[in-house]
Amino acid sequence: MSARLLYASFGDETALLAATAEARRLGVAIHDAYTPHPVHGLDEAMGLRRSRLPWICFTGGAVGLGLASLMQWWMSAVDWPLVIGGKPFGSWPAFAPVMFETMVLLAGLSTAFALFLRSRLRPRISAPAVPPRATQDRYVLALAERDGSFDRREVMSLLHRHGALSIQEGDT
Amino acid sequence: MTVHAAEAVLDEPPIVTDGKTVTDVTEDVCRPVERGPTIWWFLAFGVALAALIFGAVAVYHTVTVGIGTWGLNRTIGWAFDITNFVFWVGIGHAGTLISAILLLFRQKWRMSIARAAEAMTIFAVCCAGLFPILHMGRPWLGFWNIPYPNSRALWVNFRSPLLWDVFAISTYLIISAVFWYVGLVPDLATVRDRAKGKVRKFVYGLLSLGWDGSARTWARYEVACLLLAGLAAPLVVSVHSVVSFDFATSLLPGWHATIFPPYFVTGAIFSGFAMVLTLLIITRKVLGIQAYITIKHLENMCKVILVTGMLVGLAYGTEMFIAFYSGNEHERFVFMNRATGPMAWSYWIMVGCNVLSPQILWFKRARTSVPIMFVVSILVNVGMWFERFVIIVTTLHRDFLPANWSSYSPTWTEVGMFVGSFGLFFTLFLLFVRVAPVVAMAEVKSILHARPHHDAATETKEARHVEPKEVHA
Amino acid sequence: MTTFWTKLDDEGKPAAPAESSPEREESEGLLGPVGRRDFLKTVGFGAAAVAASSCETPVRFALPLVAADEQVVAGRATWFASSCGGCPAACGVLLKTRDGRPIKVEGNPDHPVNGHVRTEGQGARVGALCAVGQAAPLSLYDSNRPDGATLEGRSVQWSELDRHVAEALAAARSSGKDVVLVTGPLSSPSTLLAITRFTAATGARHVVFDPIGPAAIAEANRIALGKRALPVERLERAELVLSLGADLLGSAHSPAEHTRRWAVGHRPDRRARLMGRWVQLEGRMSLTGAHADERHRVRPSDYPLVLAALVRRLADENPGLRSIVARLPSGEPELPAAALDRIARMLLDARGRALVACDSPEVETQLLVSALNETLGAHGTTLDVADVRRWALPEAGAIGSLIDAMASGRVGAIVIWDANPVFAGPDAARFRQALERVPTRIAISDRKSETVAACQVVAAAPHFLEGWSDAEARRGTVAITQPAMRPLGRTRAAQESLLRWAGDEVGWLDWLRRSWAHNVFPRQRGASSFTAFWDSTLERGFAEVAVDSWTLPDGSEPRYGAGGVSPAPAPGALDGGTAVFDWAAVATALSTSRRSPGARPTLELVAHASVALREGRDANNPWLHELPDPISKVCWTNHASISPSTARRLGLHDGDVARLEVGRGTVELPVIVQPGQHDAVVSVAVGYGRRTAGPVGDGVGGNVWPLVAGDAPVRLRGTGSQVVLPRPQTESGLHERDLVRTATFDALIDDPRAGNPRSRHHLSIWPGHRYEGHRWAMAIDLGACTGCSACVVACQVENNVPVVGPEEMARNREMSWIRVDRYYGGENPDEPEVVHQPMMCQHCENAPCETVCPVIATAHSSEGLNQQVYNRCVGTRYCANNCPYKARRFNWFDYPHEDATARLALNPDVVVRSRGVMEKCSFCVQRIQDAKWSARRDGRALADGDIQPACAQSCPARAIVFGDVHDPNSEVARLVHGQRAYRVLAELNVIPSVSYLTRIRNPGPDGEAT
Repeated sequence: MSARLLYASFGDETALLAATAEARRLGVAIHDAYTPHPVHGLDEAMGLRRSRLPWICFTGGAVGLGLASLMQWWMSAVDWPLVIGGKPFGSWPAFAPVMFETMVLLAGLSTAFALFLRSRLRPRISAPAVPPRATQDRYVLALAERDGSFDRREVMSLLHRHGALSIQEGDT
Repeated sequence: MTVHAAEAVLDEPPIVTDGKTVTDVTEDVCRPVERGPTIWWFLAFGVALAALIFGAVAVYHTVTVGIGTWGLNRTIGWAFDITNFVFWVGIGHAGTLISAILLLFRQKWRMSIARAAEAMTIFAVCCAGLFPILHMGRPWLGFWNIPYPNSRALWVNFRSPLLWDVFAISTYLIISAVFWYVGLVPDLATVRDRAKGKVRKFVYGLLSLGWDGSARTWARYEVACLLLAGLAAPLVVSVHSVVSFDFATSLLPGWHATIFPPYFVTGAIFSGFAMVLTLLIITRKVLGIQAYITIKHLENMCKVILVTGMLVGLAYGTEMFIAFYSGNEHERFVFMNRATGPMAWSYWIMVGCNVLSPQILWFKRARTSVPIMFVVSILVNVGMWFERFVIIVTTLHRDFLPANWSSYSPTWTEVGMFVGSFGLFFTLFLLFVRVAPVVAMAEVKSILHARPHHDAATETKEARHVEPKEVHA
Repeated sequence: MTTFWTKLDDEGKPAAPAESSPEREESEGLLGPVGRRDFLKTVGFGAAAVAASSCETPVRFALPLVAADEQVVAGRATWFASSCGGCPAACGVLLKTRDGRPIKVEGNPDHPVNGHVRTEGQGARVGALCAVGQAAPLSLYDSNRPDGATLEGRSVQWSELDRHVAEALAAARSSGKDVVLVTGPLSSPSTLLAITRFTAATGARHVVFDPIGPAAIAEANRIALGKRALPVERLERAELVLSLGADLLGSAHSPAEHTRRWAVGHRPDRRARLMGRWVQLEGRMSLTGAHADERHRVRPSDYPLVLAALVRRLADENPGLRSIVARLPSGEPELPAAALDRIARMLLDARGRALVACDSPEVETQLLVSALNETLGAHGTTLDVADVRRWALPEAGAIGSLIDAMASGRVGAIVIWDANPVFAGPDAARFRQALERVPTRIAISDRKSETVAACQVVAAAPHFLEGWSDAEARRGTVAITQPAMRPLGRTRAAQESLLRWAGDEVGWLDWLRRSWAHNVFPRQRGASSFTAFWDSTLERGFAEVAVDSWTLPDGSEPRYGAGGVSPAPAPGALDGGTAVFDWAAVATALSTSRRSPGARPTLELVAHASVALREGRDANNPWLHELPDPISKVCWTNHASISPSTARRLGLHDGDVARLEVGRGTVELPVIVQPGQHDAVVSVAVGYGRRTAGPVGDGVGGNVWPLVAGDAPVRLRGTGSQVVLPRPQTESGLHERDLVRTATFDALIDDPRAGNPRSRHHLSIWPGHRYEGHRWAMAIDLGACTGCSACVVACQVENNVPVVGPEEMARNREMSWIRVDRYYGGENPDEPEVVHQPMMCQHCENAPCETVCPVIATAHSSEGLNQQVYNRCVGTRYCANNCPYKARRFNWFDYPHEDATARLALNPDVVVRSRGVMEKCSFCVQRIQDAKWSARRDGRALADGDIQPACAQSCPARAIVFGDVHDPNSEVARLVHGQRAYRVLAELNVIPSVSYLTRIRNPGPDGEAT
């Protein structure tokens, strides 16, 4: 999907929030926003859906727990049972720590990898086109100029009204 | 915004002082990374490297000649090795605790110190992880602790607390590293975007994974951080509980105690905060970031130290009482022996440093005096090292059969490995402060606006007058 | 265990087995028709054993046996019956050889000296052997032994040496000077015959040298009984033994035999209400004193006074005794009169079943002992005067006059064999100086010594494990010492050297056979030909034939008679065993030697033989040096023991280095504060401080011999310096812990569980694993264990346990798999109750070590063994930490096994462990497997007693019993389920497989708490 984008840079998160909220109210398609830190309320202002990462985290944990239980039971009681300290072959209380640790490990790793995959975060040879100073002290709103409803003048005035420091155009 | 508003109502003192702006944060935090190292840094690095080399020589000697180069004997199978291990694991707890648990409790003051604390965690766990490997008689076979399919068709013993350690420590290291790295990515992107040189741009480009500050990513990122924190918090508790199982699930009097998991976790927090305090007192001074790591931060940590110190003292008292109350002659003897036996000096160093020295922190004057808290933090570090030494050595040296009793004194190799672990820790930490932002910029920036007296409008106006030129440039 | 013994032929190669040799049957069992499965199992087991034994030491040279000897079966042991050459006691031994080399020495269960005692009761028949005998293989495989013929430090042909010696002896004789042969004490009749041939041919004088032996007893018996011999102490018959300083169970003559007999007599018999009682009066704390039922501290110079006091109290019982009262030394001993009254009363009560012993080197003191024994009816009951020990013992004053003769230049040549007078004895310094004046000095020796170093001519002799000899340990028992291997070096039997020099070109083995054909064969019944008799004797190791006098094979006059070397006793004196006590002769002897004691000195020196090193002959044997003294627990040095109050008085502590001075002699030694020591006694072990014993023994400890001579006052003072003692056990108190349970015999009669309350029952939510088949267990009788530590050396030999040396011992890094813990009990440090507790891996059912090992390097076998898998071990040491008994041993270093000769002593059935792995007692799993396979091969069920771990096998007191606890009829099952059995630290619920039996003492109804 190709569209012309309008990058409006703000010096402050309140301005960004207000501009975003108003743009959304006006029905302007909000492509994205770029901020140096997470801005609370921005996801609501942009109308983003809740992340599904918790489900991935839960699944990862459940798999870890299951795998660890299976592994310990199979190795200790099925494949080569040995009498150790007079304990039963399936010493479940003793298996608990490894079960817990493996659960946490897989849950954490799957969460992190899901984040990286979903957000397309991966080692890159060339740096991405980040709006100037968006990772430092600028709050940038990217509006998509996609259909006829986009009134360029109205949008520009909206952005200026909210204190845009600069406005640039660009492609996705 | 509701949270910020609530804070404003409570009229809390600012977390970041000196009226720092978002721009200042970027500048101040990136400065040490971007400019060349100072003479102080080189001096510190030299000392750390020397200690590391001393440790490496000791390790070489141990590995080539044998564990016999240590002061251990038939009765005392562990001493400096596992003391150092537990000590460093304990140190490694404050980082994740500050990051994760305080994040879950929405303690905003954690943000300035979280990064350094997390880095400390990882380096401390690295140091800790060395000792279980090096303490083995045949460290080159350490991989036999991993349950992988092998030609011997033998598995590992899942009933052994040492194996739990393998899982717990490696999980802890991995999850801490992931948590730390995920936190670092936005800040690395900041460094990348400010980088001048090609190499710098390339390296930080690789490390920052193409981070662009997108709001969609931030949204997921925050959820992910919360999830990781939610995982890391019980992990912290579990790891030191597992470490305590090394002792608690044995049957030696003085080790075999149900109090050990909470006692160890508390001790770990205690020692970890003390180490963070020591490190940050130095770091904030050396890097000139007192505005971000403020006296308020230090005072908060002092309060944690005071509380956990008393909890540790409670644990000591409980151990003593239970030993008496159990009626078990072996238990009674071990604790009497700790306090009055030939190694009582180590016990009283432990009590003096861990229980008595933090008591000065009841006084606000002391809590806000950098020299006093520095001394206290060092004393707590010493005391917590001795706590592990006391637990391990005074239990082992006189156990069930009096015919086995013996005594212990370390050799140069053991001291060398102890010093070397500090060398490794500080070498890594000093390298870290040179290559990565030592304060979590993105997080700190997100709380600047929470300051009640902050005049956002004025700043925006000022910025507006300056900016246009740049935009068109 | 199947034991079968066989023999070597003249060249030292295994000979073809006799017709009915069990060996033949065994071979057929293995090589005969076998099923496919059995074949595969055998091959698999063999391959595994080979693989296991080659794990750590790569094979560098492998020479195949082109023509394999019939007896050598790869991977299987061959056993030879022989006699121990460690001391004149000549215990019967079985030599275990593997691939043509002896690797283990064990007691022969059938031998009359150290074997099964008839009244021992049921149970496995195993032979006793002391630590010194156990350690013999490493003395054999000592790469520093003399080799070949040496002349003035130059290696020469034997012919050249013989020529030189013949010329020297001839020159000495022609110049009218003496030729002297000095030997140690001997119990080999054929050797004595060879010596008589030598002395006859060369005109030499034979002097026996034994500075610490029981010669005074023999001399007293010559006076009193007309027999210069040592009677056998029948301790198993003695209800009461009164010992004045005699360390019969520890370091005296024939300790293994004494311990075996004592253990039989000292076993509590509730039904018969019978248990032996031992009363020890002594100055130092000896092993025997530690296990006495009643013990009093008496300074050695008071022994005659104590004996005199007893003689006076018993004088009315015997007119003979009354006749010597007037000749008793005057003065009262320090021992209270009440105690003396009590002892006298007990002796009288036990008349006919009592025995008095003393270690005094003074003949007149031994005469008093003999007189008391006669009065108590000991001769013929508790003292066997018929089948006496027939050892050649030194004669009083012989060494003194030899030194005088040498000093005055009257000795032209001296041959010294198996004696070290340059180092040992009170007159060693004088001997050394006088020896320099002897023009020709010839040493025959199988080991280095100061004497060998002082001689110009050295003829290397074989070790007893590689040479032939015989032994007449006592009348009625003649035994063979046979080689178990071809000699390691270019050695020649000492007897052959003597015969050569006497002009007899006869081989020693030839001589030996002729001597037996002439003296023994005619008196035996059963065998029709000498060859058959000889072969059967070799198989058994001994023959029970009474030879009253030995004569030279050529029929000349008997030169060596039954009583000793000379003078030969009247014929028939030893026939009936009814010796007539000559009171008049005793009275005369006493009257000539009467003396009255002066003022008592504040300190007296007691120089004694140690349990491990004895008089110091095996000072180059690291196994013996590493063996902690059973009482002081110090190893790798001797030490000056003093009482706690003397230590306080002198301001000395354990490990303080003190200077001990007597006259001009001085030695610096570490001090041990020894509870139970008399305040006026400093005791030091002899045999240490060697200068040329070899690299192991040189400079270990201090030489106390120069201090023994003379009556100069003894002075002891600290030097201000301190040493860390090589001492694996530093804590001696039990701290009121219920580890060693004790009871008196009287309490045991009333209550079979006396002193042994039942343990609490442990609840568990888990029923536990089921063990089918065998379940190995051990029972250790703390009442029988004397702490003699034969088990410790036996274990070290059997299991290739490395020697770590004094520095490592000082760091508490001993490697021995079994140790003997020693605790002092009681309130009074001067009168401690000493207990010994052998401690090894307890093979716990709920083994705490197994749970904590991350890599399963230790797990349980289906037969209840706690197994250590060395290959699997990564060395976390967690198992050792978690072992409540601290029975696990860590390989701190790669312990040296570079000495190619010493490496021959390694047991190929047990791997040598590498650095960084844990090891521990395995219950001798290799022996368990071997016994199981042997039984299977023979198609029979495993019998109780077939399996003897090295410790149980060696135990002279039979304190250690091993077996299958699932077999209800096994001895171990009876003991473990008996009412004296308890488990150490039972409250931990680790369920050890080792049970201990309550230590029962018999102090008597009105016995003092000692």
